[in-house]
Order: sequence, then structure tokens, then C-alpha cells
Amino acid sequence: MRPWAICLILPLAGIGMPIHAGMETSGTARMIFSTHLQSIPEHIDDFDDRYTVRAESYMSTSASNFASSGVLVWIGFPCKVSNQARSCTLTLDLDTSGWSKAISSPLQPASIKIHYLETIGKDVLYEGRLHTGSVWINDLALHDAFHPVIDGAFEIILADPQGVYPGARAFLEGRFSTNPKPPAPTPVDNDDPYHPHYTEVGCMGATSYHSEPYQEDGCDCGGSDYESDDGGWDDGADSGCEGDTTDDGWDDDTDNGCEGDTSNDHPEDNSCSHIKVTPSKPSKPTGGELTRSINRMLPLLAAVFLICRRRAIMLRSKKSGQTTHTL
Amino acid sequence: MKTMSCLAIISLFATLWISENPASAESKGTHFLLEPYTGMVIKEGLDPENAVGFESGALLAVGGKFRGFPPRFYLYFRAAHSSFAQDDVFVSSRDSYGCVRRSHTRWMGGLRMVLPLLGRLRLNLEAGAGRMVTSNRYDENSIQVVSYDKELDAIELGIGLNYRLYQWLSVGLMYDRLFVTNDNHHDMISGILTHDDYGRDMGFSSLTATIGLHF
Repeated sequence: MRPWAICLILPLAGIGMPIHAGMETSGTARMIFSTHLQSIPEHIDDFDDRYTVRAESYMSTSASNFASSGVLVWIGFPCKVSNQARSCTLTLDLDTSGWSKAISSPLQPASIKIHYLETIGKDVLYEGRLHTGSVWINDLALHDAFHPVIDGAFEIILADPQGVYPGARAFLEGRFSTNPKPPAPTPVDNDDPYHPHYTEVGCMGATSYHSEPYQEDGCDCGGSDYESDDGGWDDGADSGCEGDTTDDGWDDDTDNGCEGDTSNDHPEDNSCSHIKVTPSKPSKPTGGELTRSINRMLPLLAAVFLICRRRAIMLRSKKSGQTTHTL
Repeated sequence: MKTMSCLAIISLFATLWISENPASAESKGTHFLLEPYTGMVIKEGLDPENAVGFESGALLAVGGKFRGFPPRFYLYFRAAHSSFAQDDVFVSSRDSYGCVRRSHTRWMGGLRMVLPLLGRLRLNLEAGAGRMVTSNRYDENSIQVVSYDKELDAIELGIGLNYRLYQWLSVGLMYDRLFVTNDNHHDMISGILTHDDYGRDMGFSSLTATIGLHF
């Protein structure tokens, strides 16, 4: 093989390597945020100060610890704890490998890693991990290059496992979804009170999610995340639509059962407290993409050197005696 | 670190090669070039982050000239690493402070044309394509929020001047512009920092000083 061919093959080999497919897209999220400042209640009913939060969101596969089957959902929003405005960040790292549209149960605890952070300026005021709760995926098109979709729900209680930050935070009726909105999912025609029914409500094409069959109640087009009542915070009473870039028409019904929880252990128990989540290692740890890429290239570099050297020696032996000055 | 080790090994081999055959290198034209370089790199399309970083790398090339035609042509392979200092960013939408750290490594290949200008002064023009791996980390108050590596396809265009001090040694200055070619790629940290286009127009420019070893 000629040496120049190696220089051509090397970059082409690099280009030919498949790029890690997955999701990189923005989205929206909405949830009822609640706090408990002193202790960690096991039941969501024990939390105070509930209000609805609409948040910006971003979904990424490359940032997930679950390799190509993972999605890291970042949710950032301004929150209010004890009448103090704070910056809040919630990340849900989800392993979707076991997900199927036919299964309505929540993700396994080992498939979920959650981190929550509250700050003011440069001070950290609260940091929490998943204490109890569940995360569901309602719709997913992870490797669609043009319109990746994820639509999910969560009901979680967060606490600091190290006990540095007292109290707990709860997110009820949490929803996250990619932007633009996914097409309306297939309506679920069953009597499962925990499984959401999907109905097109006509608010700029937004899909509404109801725990009860949909009843037409129109759209109150708000347009602002902050309302004048409740101390300036949106109580989630209106759904908002046109002009409200973060609203998605989700219904703020107040039932706090565990959607999708098909566990038979506690058939009468609607709370999420029985779902104990223990920290576990991710199934497919990632990272080291850079190292792998370098390792892939090392044999090729060695081959280049050896072939070039051999070629040069051959040229020298062929042209011995000739002098061409081509500086 | 591995990239640096790799470059060091290549440099060592090249040095040995040259030292083995000093006489032949003086008497004949050279066809191979090993060009370590270092300089500054500027990232673009990732506001509001600061832009300037440090780049170092090496280029391995093989080529020659056609008889009666002054320009020389080289096919090259380049490995380079760029790192940017940690950058504190204020996110106004949430009154929050974040810290961004980015670096990238790239492997590119392409064609370099060397045009003789005056005496031993040469003009280098180059175009290439390849792959880059970006490493990105975003912290808030020293707590890691997200961290990820991302592979991207890229093309590069370069222009520079080169002065051939000796037959085996040249020094130069190169400007390279790197374009990311993936359609509709988004950057998560740009999304977190509420950058309007989510890093879709990301690109890099580098200005580097080169030392060319010809053999």
C-alpha cells in the first residue's frame, strides 16, 4: 500500500465510524412542587406549600450514564422555599432499555438516577437525591434523527441521603416532554385509574393528559408563569396556551396517586410511599468515549509509521546514486 | 494524556528515523512532514461563555511535487487537543451561577497545498475533514450538574505561512477554521444556559505556531 493512501484512509476511517445516536433536544416540564423543611415525610400528603411550576427542560442521551439507551432530562426553574426565591435544578437520568409502549409500569429503580439542587447566587441551599417515588415513560422515539420524542411523568420525594440538608422536596404530577410536542399518543381505553388518558384538546395542538376521561373545559390562555394570586406564583389553575411558551396544556388534576403503578402489593394504597427506591449502579456505565477513540486510532498510527518507513527505505534503495534537490 | 503520549511516541520515531539517515535527507527531496504545533483556539457559537483556549497537536503528512509545477501537495493526518479554561456564567433566567468546562480532541485528514512565495517562504493552504470528540461539563456551585462527551463530524480550512530554515526544519504560523457538519446538533449546556440556538452554530478557529520536521 502506498503511504499517501494511508493518509487518505485514516480520516475516512474516522468519518466512517458511527456517531453515538440518541436524543439532543429541548423540551418543557411541569409539576407541582412541594417542600417539607424539617423532616422527610414518607407520604406526599404531608408536604406543604404546593404550587405548580412550569420549567424549561433539555433532554440528552450523550449526557446520560445509561449509554445509548439513556436519556438525561434536565429541568431548571426558579422556585420559592420559605418565601425565598431560589434557582432549582432537577436532573432525571433514565435508562429506557427496558421500556415498552405496551408496559405501563414505572421504570425500575435501577433505571433511575435523580439529582436535585437549590441555589441562591453562589450558595447551595439544598441538594437531594431520590428518596421514594416513580418515573414513567409514556412515549419514546429515542433514535429518531429528526423528531426524537420523550414524554414522561414522575412522582418523587427527594432528600439528602447524607443528611447535610434537612427536610425534603416533593414533585407531584410531574410531566416532561420534548419540544415540539409529540404527536398525540394512542388513547388508552381501559379503566386503570392510574394510567393517563390522552386527549387532543385543541390548544395549539397540545396534548392534554388526564387521569380522568377528558371533559371539555376550554383553554384559559394565560401566557405567564407567574400569577397574581398565591404570592405571585402560578397555582396551576389555568392551563395557558397561546403565547405561553412553557405551557403544554397539561391538566392539573389534583389526584396524587401513583400513575402507572401496577404493583399488587398495596392495592388500596394510592400513595407512592411504598415504592422504596434504593441507590444502585447504572446498568451500563459509560464515559471513556475519548479513550476508546484514541485506542482505535493507535494501531492505525503505528501502521502509518511502519509503512511510510518501509516505503522510504525502498525508495532510497531504488534511487541510490541519484540526487534530486526538491527543497 | 493519551493523546500527548501518542504524539510523543510519533515524534520519537520520527527523530530516530531522521537521525538514522542524515546524509540521505540532505541530498534528496523530502516527502514526509511531521509538524507539532501549539497556539490559541477560539470557540464560536457558544455564547455567553468566554471564547479563548489553548490548542496543541501534530500533523503527519506525505506528499511531493509534480515535475514542472511549483506547488507541492501533501496528504495529511492531524491529531489535536484543545482545552478551554473553566468559565463562570450567570444564568439570568434563574438568577443562577454556572461553571462550564470544555475541551475537544480531533482527528482530521485532508490535503495541504504548499505554494512557494519568496525565497524560502511558503504559503500553506489546506482543507480536511474528520471527527472531533468534545468533553463538556457544567457545574453549579462546584456541584456537577451534567457532564458528557460528544462525537461530531467536522471539516477544516486553513491558511498559513511557512519558512524553511533548513531542509529538515521549517517554522510557520497557521490559521484554521473548524466547522461542525452534523445536521441539527444541539449542545446541552447551551440549552441549560438558555442560548437561543442551543449551540447549533458551534465552530472553532485556531491560530498556531508550527515547527515542521521534513524527512
